[in-house]
Amino acid sequence: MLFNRRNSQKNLNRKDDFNKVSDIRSLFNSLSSSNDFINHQGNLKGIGYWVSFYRSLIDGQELHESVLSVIPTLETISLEQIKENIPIENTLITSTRKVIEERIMRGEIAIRLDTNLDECLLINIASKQGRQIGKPELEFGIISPQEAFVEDIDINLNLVRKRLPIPELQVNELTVGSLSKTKVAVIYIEGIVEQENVDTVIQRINEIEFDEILDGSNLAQMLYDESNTLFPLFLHTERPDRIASALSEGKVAMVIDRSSSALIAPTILLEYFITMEDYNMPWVPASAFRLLRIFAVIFSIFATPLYVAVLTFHYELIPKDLLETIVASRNLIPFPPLIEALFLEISIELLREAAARLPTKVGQTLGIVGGIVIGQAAVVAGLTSNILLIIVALSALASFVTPIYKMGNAIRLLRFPFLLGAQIWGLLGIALASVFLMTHLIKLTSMGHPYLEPIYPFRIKDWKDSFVRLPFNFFKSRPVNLRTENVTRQPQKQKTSKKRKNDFNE
Amino acid sequence: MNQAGVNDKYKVSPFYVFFLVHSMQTGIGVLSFQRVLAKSAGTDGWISIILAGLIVHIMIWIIYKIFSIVPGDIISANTQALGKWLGNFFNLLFIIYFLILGMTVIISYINVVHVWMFEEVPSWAFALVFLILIYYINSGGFRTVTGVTFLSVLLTYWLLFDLIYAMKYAEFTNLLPIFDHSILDILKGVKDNSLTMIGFELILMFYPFIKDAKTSQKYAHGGALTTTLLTVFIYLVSLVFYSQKQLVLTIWPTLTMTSVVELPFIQRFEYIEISWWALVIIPNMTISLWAASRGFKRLFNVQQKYPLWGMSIIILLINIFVFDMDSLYILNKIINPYGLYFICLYLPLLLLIIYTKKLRKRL
Repeated sequence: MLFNRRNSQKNLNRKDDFNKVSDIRSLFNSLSSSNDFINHQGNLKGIGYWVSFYRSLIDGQELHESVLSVIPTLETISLEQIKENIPIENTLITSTRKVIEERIMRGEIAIRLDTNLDECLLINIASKQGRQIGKPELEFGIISPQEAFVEDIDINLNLVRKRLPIPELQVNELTVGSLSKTKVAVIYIEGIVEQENVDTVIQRINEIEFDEILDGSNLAQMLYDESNTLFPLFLHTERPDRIASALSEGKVAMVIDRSSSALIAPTILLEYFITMEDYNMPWVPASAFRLLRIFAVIFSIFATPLYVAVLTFHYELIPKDLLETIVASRNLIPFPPLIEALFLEISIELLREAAARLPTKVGQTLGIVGGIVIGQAAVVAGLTSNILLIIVALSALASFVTPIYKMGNAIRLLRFPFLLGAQIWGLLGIALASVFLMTHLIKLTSMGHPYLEPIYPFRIKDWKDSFVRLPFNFFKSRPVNLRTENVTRQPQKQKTSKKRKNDFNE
Repeated sequence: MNQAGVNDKYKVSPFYVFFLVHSMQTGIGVLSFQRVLAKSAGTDGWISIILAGLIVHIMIWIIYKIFSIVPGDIISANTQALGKWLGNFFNLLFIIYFLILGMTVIISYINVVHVWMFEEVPSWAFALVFLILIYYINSGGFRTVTGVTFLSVLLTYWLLFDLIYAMKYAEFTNLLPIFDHSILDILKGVKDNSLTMIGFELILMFYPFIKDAKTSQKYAHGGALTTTLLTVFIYLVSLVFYSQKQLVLTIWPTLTMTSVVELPFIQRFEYIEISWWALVIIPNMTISLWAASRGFKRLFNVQQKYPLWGMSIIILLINIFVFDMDSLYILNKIINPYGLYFICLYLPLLLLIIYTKKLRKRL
């Protein structure tokens, strides 16, 4: 009985071995059916060896220099021997099919000997094709570092790590997408970040069951708390300094392979109006420009709807001198204000969309043609009034001031419901639309943290870096919102040497 | 059932009680209370307002006293004090009261909009939009309701500037004579002034939603005090702006006052004020309907959205079939003497019952 069982187990084992054998051979057979998969045969001292790889995934020069030219110098040939002599780290000898397949697909080469075709030596010589680190295009800053993320996860991680050279900076790598196998690195600083946030991010990423994740913004949408919203809930950035600053505040960042935008979560609404430049300027201009940006956004949402509301329903609001000007510019126009406004708004949107899709040089020409010629012609032809043209152009301009492009998009679209409200009930319609917007913003959360903080829930401590940017000696604690483990940003000590006395220099 | 258990996650900080009470008190009443008050108490109206404010403070004290003995909300307090049947009867009265309060606010505002801005738009169209908005706010839970209330208070205080502008035309001798009216007249003024004072009783419903609710008492008093001061200020400005006879004839003195504002690029400020007033009114409607539907939910154990839908449909139907002036007349009658007496007499009585019960238990 006992004997028997042992025997059968042996049989089973043998069967397994057999399966594995055929597994690996069939793996290489099936890989070879693709034309860019190369099986290079060599012969050294009578022993044949195979080098197999995807031509399109590896670095040819590296292959010649570090692998193919090394092998003939060996005294005896065995996988161990090759492994010892090849000047590349992280090599592996294995016969597990899954590992081999995965690694070959990531750009490693497999070396097999004719003596045992089921064992592979895997060497990483993946080609690092891609852009060089360039200037930020979307979030350009005049007085801030001129480095932006590229599409390679390792370079991006390097850019972040160089800014935070501490062992507490943790990187947690995950893979999502059943087809794209995208690598996502979740970054956080241990001891500062609230662990629950990290867990939520990782859990949500693991829950994704989608076949391809091709970009950061693509991933972000699957991680949102609420998908029915115009507003971005995760901040996309191409600036490594923004990521570093977010991490040190206690947020979680995500860097996605093959995507030049990294994500920050959780975020608040006001964060989208902050540029990294604000921290590189004295606090007064920084705050002034931040307020200007917020004003611009409000202006860009409300300007055209107010024009429509006033000219459709509330002529009385305008004093008679001003009314004369407006009426004079409108008296030849055959349309109601809404049509006039929609016509202009949509043509501006068209220009913007077309300019975004065209090469830079053509885009510039188009801007001039569209902006000046069409605008002027529309006024001369009596389709729109001069004043509305100014308002629409200004509000289009104002919607560009948001440093984060996605927020700009949200603001671009927000004005249309307001236009509708203005057309239906004038100022009351705008007021009601505003309450809708307000409620929506109150309801929104980013990773479970309220989006409208510090306005509501009202937290006076977080106002230091919201509408205004106060001097750095106010930055004593990290945002309350993030519930960080370590709250203090600078020690609460008395300045001794540098403190100036207010004594009129004696 | 006795404990109105609310998850800590959905509670709001105590200081929001200030805004909840203040916003709930300052609603549609502020636009029009001066006329009736001027009729009864004239130049001494401000004394009536202060007296009414005092009563509000006493009532708030009573409410907090009740809840210090029986924590929870009015629904559980009623059943605990009066037993199941009688308690639930009063619960129903409270629910109806909150519903009528919300309805009054909605219809009053629609009435203002009709008279001042859009006379042709049917009431139900406005009501429909308001109710959708209210549902949208309420569906976010009490946290969202508080948020809207808080922001609406913050965003509307700048409107005070047009009162200050109106002071340009002030005639300060209008304030005289002082102490010209009998005590009875002044007391009548207290009653007439009630629409700007009620609203504090909503604490009865949202008390369990406040973190460390006991500590919120000072904020409740603060909110009531702010309302009283604001009302006195508005009344005094109206007194110096209008003559007595004019004030008695003006239905919406606050609005008429704002129409004198004239800036280089804008005039006829009342359009802006009425539209902006939507921000003040919407929390009022929302909190009342929230309280009514929450009471219903607690009483009958149904999901809150069903009573909210039901109440919305009732309000919509009233707006379709009854002209707003007519319904307003009836609703104001219900709120002003009956609702007011109900709140002011029932709450002390409830405290008395609860207190004796507590004493007896101890003996």
